[in-house]
Amino acid sequence: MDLVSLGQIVISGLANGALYAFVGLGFSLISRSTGIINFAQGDFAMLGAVLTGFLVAGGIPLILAVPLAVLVCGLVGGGLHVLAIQRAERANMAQLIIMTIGFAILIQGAVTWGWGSDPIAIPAFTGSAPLDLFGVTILPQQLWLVGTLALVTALMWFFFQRTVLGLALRAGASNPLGAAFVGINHKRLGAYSFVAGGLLGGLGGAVWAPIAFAQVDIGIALGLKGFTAAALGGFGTTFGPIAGGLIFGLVESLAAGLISSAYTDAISYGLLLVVLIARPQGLLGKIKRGAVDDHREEVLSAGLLATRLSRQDFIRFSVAVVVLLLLSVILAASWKTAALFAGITAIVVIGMVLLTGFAGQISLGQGTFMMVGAYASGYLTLKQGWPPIAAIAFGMVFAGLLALVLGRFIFRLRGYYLAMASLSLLMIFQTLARELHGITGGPNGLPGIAPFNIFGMQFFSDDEVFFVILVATLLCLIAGLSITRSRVGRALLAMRSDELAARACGANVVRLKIGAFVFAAACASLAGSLYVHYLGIANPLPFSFKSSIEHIVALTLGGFLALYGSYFGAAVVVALPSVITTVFGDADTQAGAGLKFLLFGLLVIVVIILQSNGNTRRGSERVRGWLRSGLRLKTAET
Amino acid sequence: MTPVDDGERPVTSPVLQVEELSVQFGGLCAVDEVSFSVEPAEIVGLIGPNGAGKTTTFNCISGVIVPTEGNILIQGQTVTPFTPERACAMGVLRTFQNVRLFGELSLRENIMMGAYSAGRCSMVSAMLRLPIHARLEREAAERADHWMDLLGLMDYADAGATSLPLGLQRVAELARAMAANPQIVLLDEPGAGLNKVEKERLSDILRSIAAETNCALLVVDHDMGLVMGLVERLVVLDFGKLIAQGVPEEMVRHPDVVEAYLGVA
Repeated sequence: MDLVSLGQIVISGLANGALYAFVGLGFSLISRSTGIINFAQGDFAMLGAVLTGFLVAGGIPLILAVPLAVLVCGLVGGGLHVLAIQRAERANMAQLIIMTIGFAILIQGAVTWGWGSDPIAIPAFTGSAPLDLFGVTILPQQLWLVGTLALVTALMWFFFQRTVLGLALRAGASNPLGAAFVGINHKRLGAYSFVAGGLLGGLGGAVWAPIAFAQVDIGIALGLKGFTAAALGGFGTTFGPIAGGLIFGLVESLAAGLISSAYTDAISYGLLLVVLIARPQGLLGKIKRGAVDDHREEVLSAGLLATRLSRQDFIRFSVAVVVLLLLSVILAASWKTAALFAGITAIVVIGMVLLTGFAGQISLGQGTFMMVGAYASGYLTLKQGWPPIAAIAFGMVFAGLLALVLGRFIFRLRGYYLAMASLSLLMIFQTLARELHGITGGPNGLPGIAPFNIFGMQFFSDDEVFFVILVATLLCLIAGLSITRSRVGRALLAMRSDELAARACGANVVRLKIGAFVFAAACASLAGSLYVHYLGIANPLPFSFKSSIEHIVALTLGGFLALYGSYFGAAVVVALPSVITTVFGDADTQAGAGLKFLLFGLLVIVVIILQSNGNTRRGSERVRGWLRSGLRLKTAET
Repeated sequence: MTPVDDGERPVTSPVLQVEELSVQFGGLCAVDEVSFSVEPAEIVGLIGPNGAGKTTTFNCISGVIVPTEGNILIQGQTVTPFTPERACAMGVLRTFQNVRLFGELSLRENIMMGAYSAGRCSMVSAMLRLPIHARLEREAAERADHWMDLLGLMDYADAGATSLPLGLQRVAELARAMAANPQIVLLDEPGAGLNKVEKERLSDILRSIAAETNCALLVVDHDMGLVMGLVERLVVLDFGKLIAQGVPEEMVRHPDVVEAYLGVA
């Protein structure tokens, strides 16, 4: 490789890095002042880019369109804080973080609904004639991007070091209660930091957009890469994300130029995993040593939960079995297919109830483990002639081991690192599934997978598969009930409400979290296997980030601690597209898909607000009361 | 650690030894070469004015803070790294200054959680309901019943633990610690927030526990009233240094202690 090409790689890496730095700055700003990892940060940048494109296409001059788009992003950020986060004041951190995932889904859905997902071209600010520097071409827009970043950095430095509001933000970040005592309103600070996050993301997106194309799909990738920038530089630092962004942009660009462009994603997300595992405080960040982290959130109690099997559990389980069997008889054929997919989703969600509800960890990449199951079933039955049940077992064990290894590293530190680690693992596995043709069949996948069979029985028709999936969900439900109604479940609940007190009782919290993660991974793998045995093909598409969204929505709707709720959440997620079709016309169009995500996002936000205020619990108690009084009335009559 | 029944545990003396313990936070020396020990069944008070290093010492013994220098020996053994769960496995249990019971668990289940360290049972054995799980659950339930009965908590067994009045919550937290069959229980300001009657009741309970179970108690408090009537020996800290130790009656007359508490006359 000659020097000019290398220079070219470095320039484009630095330019991309500048964008990641913008997103990373927003991440670190919001996390420092509110403690929240804002998953919508990449979508602010996407929104900035798309809005600029939309305004320019609408005839508004660029010089007005850019500030307008950035301003809207700031307003959206602030609005989300005021309208959603401030309404959920008693939510715990996991709920708030899931709520920001709701923001991300909402923004992506709104953009897709409003403008579609086609790329939008945006003219460069000052012409597109490239400059020449010793043979290396530099786009003027790249200079704009880097220049804007430098200007913003200087402004932020001035703001934090030299203004009262900056001082207040720093104080609020370091000690919210102490800051409150000297009259700093943390609510307002949170809103300011979300406005600033929106402005930073929007500005980066708007200035970057002319270099590439603005399009809705970049939101997730930008979020992950911006997070990497912040993680690499250090979340606790003001300017670490800039160094992190530039380094990450360079590594990504070098990996694509020097190693392989097909594996760029795998390499760059692999870097994020390595950082999270090896240096979670970031390159510039410092780690507090010597003391056990005893950060305790004041959480709304979820009410008393049983940790021993009771007669009630047997009654409830029997009712569930009867209801599900009735469904298999009365469901119309057209709904049965939907019910199958709901059952598969429910299996994944049962695992997530243990992981997120009980162990308090968020995974955005259960699709990874679904893929493990899918390809284990596909490859082993097709290419190795294994019986399906053996392939399924292999997939579950493999997925469990993968979770064990990842969890061992990720859970050493408290925090929500698993969310990003699992998402980057998903991105890596998606790349591998597309590239490792020998095992996975590439993007076309492995077609021709036989239906599930055991003891010589074939399960071919929808009715037969329904039975298999029904049994599988019930087995997972029994396993979930058995774990939660045990001393391990008690330890999980204890850890959930007070980690230090649980440790003082001898609970090994790292092992408990790993255990929940392994269980969730095995469930997801089983779901993935059943999915490909039903459809007859294993390919990467159904297990992309969009599936993670559906899992999170189903988990939230069903209730984080409710095993039976998994069925409900999964049913809503699967049924919603059909509802949209009947109400708004075709759901398969871009607008329909956008509307679906818009509603998903809204549902997540609203449900978490209700949950955090205890409304859902009161509601379910009321319903239970009605049912009970209704039954009593009937028995009295007879 | 093997589960042992009350009163039958092997006793090595002393149960806790703190050797030249030092903790530095940045430039500040919070604890400065403090050494003392606690014998089985002994009730020792760790006292001192605000900022004396009581809580820091307490946190070192319970595995929350890693000391800068010095050793903590439990029955003559050191464990590194000394974490809260390791402390529990060694028989060092604790209570918290602002009571920390588990909000989603009933009182009985809180105390059963105290018996969690009675034996290891993996998630798989819990899921498959292997005999080990049933055995440990039975043992935990027995211990919980035993301590609830002894400490008069039976009436509230199925109530939400955090819905009880503070006095009962403190007793419940003590029961949770005792359910682990500890060698020593560290009590962090057990009298805080209690009225006079509740304090006296708690003192009676603590005395009878030490007498009947051979478990040592280390009480950290600055409330002299509760400590004086309860402990057999006092360890007095001031500005991170151990300034005196001995029986309570002597300590109140000890010139250094008087000076530390009242200032120079």
